Amino acid sequence: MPNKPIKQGYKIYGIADHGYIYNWIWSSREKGLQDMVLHPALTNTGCLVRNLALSLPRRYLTIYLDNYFTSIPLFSELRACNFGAVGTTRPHKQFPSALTELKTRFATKLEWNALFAVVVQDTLCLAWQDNNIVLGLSNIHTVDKAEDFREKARRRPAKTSTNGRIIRKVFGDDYIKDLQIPCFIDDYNQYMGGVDLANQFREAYETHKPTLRTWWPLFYWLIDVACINAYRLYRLSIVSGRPLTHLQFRTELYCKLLSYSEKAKLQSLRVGLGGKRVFNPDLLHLHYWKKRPKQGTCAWCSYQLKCAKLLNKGLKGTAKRSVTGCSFCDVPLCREGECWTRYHANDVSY
Amino acid sequence: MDDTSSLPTQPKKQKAQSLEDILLQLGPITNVSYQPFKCESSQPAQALLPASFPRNPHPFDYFSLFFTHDLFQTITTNTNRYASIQQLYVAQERAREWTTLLIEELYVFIGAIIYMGVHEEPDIEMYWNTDFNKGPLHSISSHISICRFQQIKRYCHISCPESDERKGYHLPSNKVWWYKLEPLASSIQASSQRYYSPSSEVSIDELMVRCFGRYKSLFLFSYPATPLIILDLYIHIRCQISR
Repeated sequence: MPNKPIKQGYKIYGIADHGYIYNWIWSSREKGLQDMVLHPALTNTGCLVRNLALSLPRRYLTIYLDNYFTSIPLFSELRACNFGAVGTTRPHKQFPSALTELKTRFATKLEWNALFAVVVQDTLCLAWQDNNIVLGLSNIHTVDKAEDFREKARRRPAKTSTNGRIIRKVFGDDYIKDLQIPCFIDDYNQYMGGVDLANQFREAYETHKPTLRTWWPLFYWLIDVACINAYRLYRLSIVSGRPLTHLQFRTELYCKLLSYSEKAKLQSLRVGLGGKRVFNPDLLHLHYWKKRPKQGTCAWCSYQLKCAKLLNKGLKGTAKRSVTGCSFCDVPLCREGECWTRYHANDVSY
Repeated sequence: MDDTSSLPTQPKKQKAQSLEDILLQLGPITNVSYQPFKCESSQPAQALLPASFPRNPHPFDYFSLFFTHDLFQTITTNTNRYASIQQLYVAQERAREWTTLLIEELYVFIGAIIYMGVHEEPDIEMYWNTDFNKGPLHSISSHISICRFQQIKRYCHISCPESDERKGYHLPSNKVWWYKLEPLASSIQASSQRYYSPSSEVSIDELMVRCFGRYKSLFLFSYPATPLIILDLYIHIRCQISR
């Protein structure tokens, strides 16, 4: 697809709501779609939509689709599954030929806001003249009543626009004008953005670094999905006060995650303490005092000092030196004090 | 205008109808009666947070709904497993010594990745710049060293390398091509559905994940092509001038 901003990559089909990614299906250029329940009347893409729709927690929702997915059989199947569906479409086999002809041959001849509709297989097929003819499918809208149109502020297209001639007539000298447009197209414009919003959230602070391994981009993507969904949950559950922006949210999140570094350093000091650390009563006979050939720094004292230094407690001094130590652990330890017990009681789970 | 448009439309006109015919066939819009599907009345989206969720939550608490402690534990275990396999099989003389990954280090690692998304730099080494005369200073360097970061990145493994091999995931017949991300992917997918009740309008679309894999020919071919053409032209012009 030449107009895609991202030309290469993995394609994942997702169902989203206000930027929250609810569910997704993997797809690969080489291996195709992931295994799923197939339906005899539908194409692979149709089955994909049906599977995603059925993963929703309740029925009687409206699903907005773009022209990649839509077809008339899919819409009647969704209706049978108790889902509303709205979407733009491409001319396909079941789509009424009269509407297709309008798009392919008479796009420049029609007045702005001309609307045509045909009912096929319990689905409303629409053609609406805007900058160009927009073909659409819907199973929740009607077109024969006055309330099927809505007044909406529209912006005048640029002079260079393909069919600008027709629309500029309607606008006259105004830049923005309130015009009556069909509810179908208004709803579509309003709600289609669910996934796009998610993509925008992700692109804003995308955690992407070039890698050589093929699965890393997907790992980054998963981190992003977790961040975005967490942010959406946060916005939904916050009751009072001014909510954080997406950037502030991410900043607080990474600060918290990075603050684990102190714990990590303490933990690695503990691991670095070494020794066999077996000090249950049965194995007591393994550890015994021994005079070491050389004097050394007491392991426990120096560990304590390092920890204090890390936590910035401002403790100064040097660790005690000792000639005795544990024969089994092969470390020097202080004779007096609790160094022996403390050192051996220090149990590291790793 | 007439000359150009007459050519493609001429053969069509014999079989196709004129605009008037189509409009007549479609009829006025008010004649189209249709029984629409009755959807539920519009409802807002809701967050279904677990009962154990803290009263005054930090952003991290929301994040850990998806990246649970258990997942971090799994990644830590599998990374260590993979690293030990690599250390055994790939004998490197001057390899850096690998110390066992701690779960806290993984938290810092993920934090660093999110940090890099917010503060973008073209080169990873710039995050560890310590001289403000040479560029911006970043706070990552006080939390994790660049060696450790690169080492974790090198050995990071989400799925268990041994059971992957046992299940034959590396074979070309495998359909689960994202197996390297399991169980992380399916866990996040399940949590996404558990903690959220969608509003009445949802949308289905494609999500593109940018990736320039090695096996994709486009980038491998177009990159060296440009300098060569320029060089070629340059030599050509120089030759002509010298003549």
